[in-house]
Amino acid sequence: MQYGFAGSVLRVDLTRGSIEKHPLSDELARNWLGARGIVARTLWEEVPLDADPLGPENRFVVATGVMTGHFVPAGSKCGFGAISPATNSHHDASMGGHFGPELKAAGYDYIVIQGISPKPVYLFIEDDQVELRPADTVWGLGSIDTEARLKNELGESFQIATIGPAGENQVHFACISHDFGRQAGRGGLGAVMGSKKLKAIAVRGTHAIPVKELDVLKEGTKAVIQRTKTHPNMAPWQRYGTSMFVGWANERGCYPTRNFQSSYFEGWEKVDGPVLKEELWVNDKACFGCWMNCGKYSRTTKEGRYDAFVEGPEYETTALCGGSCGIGDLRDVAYANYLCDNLGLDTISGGSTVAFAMECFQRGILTSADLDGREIQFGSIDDFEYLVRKIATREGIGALLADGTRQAAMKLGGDALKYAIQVKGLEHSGYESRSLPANLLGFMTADIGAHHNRSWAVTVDLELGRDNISGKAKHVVYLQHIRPLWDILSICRLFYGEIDVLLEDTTASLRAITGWDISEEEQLRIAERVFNLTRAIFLLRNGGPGRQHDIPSRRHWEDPVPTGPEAGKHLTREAIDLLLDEYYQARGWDGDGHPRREVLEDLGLADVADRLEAVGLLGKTMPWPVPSTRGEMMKPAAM
Amino acid sequence: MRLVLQPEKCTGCRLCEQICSIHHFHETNTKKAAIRISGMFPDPGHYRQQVCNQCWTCIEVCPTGAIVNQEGAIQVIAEECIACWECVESCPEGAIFVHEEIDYPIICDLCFECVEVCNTGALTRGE
Repeated sequence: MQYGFAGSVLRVDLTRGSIEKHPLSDELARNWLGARGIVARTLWEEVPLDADPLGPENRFVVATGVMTGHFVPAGSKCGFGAISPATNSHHDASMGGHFGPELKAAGYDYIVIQGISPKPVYLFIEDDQVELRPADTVWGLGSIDTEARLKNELGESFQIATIGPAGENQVHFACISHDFGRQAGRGGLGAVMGSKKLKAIAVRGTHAIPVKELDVLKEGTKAVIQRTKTHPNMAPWQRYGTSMFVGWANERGCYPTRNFQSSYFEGWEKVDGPVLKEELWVNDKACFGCWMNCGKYSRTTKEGRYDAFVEGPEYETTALCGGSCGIGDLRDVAYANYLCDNLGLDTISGGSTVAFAMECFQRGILTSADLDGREIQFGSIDDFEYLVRKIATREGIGALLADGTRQAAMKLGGDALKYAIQVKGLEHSGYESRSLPANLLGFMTADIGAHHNRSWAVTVDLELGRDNISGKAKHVVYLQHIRPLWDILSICRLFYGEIDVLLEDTTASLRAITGWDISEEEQLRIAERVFNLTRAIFLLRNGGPGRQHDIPSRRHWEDPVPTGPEAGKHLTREAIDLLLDEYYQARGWDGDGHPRREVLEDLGLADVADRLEAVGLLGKTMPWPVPSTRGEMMKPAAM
Repeated sequence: MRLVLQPEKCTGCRLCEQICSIHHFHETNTKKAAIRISGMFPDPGHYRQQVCNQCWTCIEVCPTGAIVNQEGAIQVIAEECIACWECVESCPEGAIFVHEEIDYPIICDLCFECVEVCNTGALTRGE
């Protein structure tokens, strides 16, 4: 028995309809710890490099982490992963709620699903009873409707992860939904489930997860709870959740507006946190084991138009479905949120794809002939609803947009690619970054595409000067290790970033849970191991040089910000290259962005180096040495 | 002494369930908790807290006297329990729980461990 883990793994072959149980590998547990570590290793070992992301050979992996389900700060997380149809590479998404703890209580650390079912099914798990059940009654239903139906049939204590129609129709930014508002949102993992005809997973478990020193864990976590209850950030987080950053981002000129044309949304006050709290808020909603309850549950109504319950809108949703679509009424934003949630669309890429279509219409790249005679406009919730419904069903213009902005832009040709605000096929998270070079670098180099869960470096830019380019890359590298580490451990990173739950605290918890003495440095190296492995998967599937894949939309150097506090700002093409030069050097990669053998061997990835070398993608020897420590924490300036 | 419930303040984090099972069974297993939090979603979007409110119905229906009032709190005397589950069926709150590894009913004994970890005031100590 390995303390901290459930001890078993499920393998499901949907083509054959078979289910097997295997013991958890001790080596996998110790060296990869869980969630995206397990996802990356599984994809590396099992998915052929030429496998279609939406074909039978792709693996859909549902993986908890070592701390999932334990009495730790928000041990709620569950990783979902596969080769993404959006990026054609490793993707993993970390989801809160209650699903991961329930899966572990049922006795399983992770599930690997392959093949394609002949008919729509859902995976039923109740402790030792695991079966594929027909999904006829829920296929075609929205995510919220499916979860309600399955909970009604199976019991409230079952935890459900499901896709909506967008996943069934293999939209490249279809999400996986759970707990009426939590999502494994990005990278089109819902499309992978849909391609496999897997509508949902329902799980209930009744077992304990073994802990080495439960009394130590109990007292340690109780002390952290008491210490953080009075943290100055606790009250605003409990009151507003992430929505409070709408004002913060606008005041600093980094809020995506009309498809990232501007970084300032005039009238942002109407979509800010206080409006959510005062006009839409119904209740607070926390993930498993979280005492910060940042989830806000809302009801949005407009007479004769809509009346819907939705969790949110979160900051990212207000940014992409609000500002970026020019929608300035929070009720409309919340309704857009509801539409995406129930259709099963990621609100970030979903909002961004709608905004892309709106800008293409503004510039004459799309015309009303493409849009059933409509003239779509920024700011219109009716146009938003028209577009997302088309996308979810792949009808009309939806067939073009459902593959995401990059593929749509390449089909449209002309200047369209400039208006696809994405890297590697994944649309940017909600920070306009023409005057946030470190943050942009984080988006450019994230292994999964432009997502803030790898690096969110806005504070690096604010601290070191927004116009400065040099000297920031090493901090981005550090963030790309520390932030994904929380996903690997499977505890919520917001405790670390916002209320000073330290790596020191969670390292003590990790020791109490597992009995392993894993230093903070070693944990960061595990995160670095995963990052280099996923970079290698990307390169092997998409070809080199890596640098060409790390370049953002040319809007970043061609168009100055038109309005707001950062008006006039833009980057240069040379600055983009300087950012990458320093970044590759800090990582010990070569000038093409390919990992060098010394780094890979140092991380225990000699087999990865061999495979890269065999196809000419291993990093070349460079004039600079490989740093012994890659990445550096930014120390706040002295007060 | 009693546990005061304010379901309108409950966020469904289930720290109460976790600490309850750790305190009473020395394991993290929410299915062994003497308190149960359930969500009512999508509509109305609130949580329900199920936990003993000391109505003592179970004491009256227990055929073996295995459930007693110990200074105002329920105590289950495991050795006396015959696992007939009369108490579970008669509990007006649905606040007596069973787990297949435990051969007696799981009922809140007012240890107030849950109050210590609740950060919203959904569970407080009252007279």
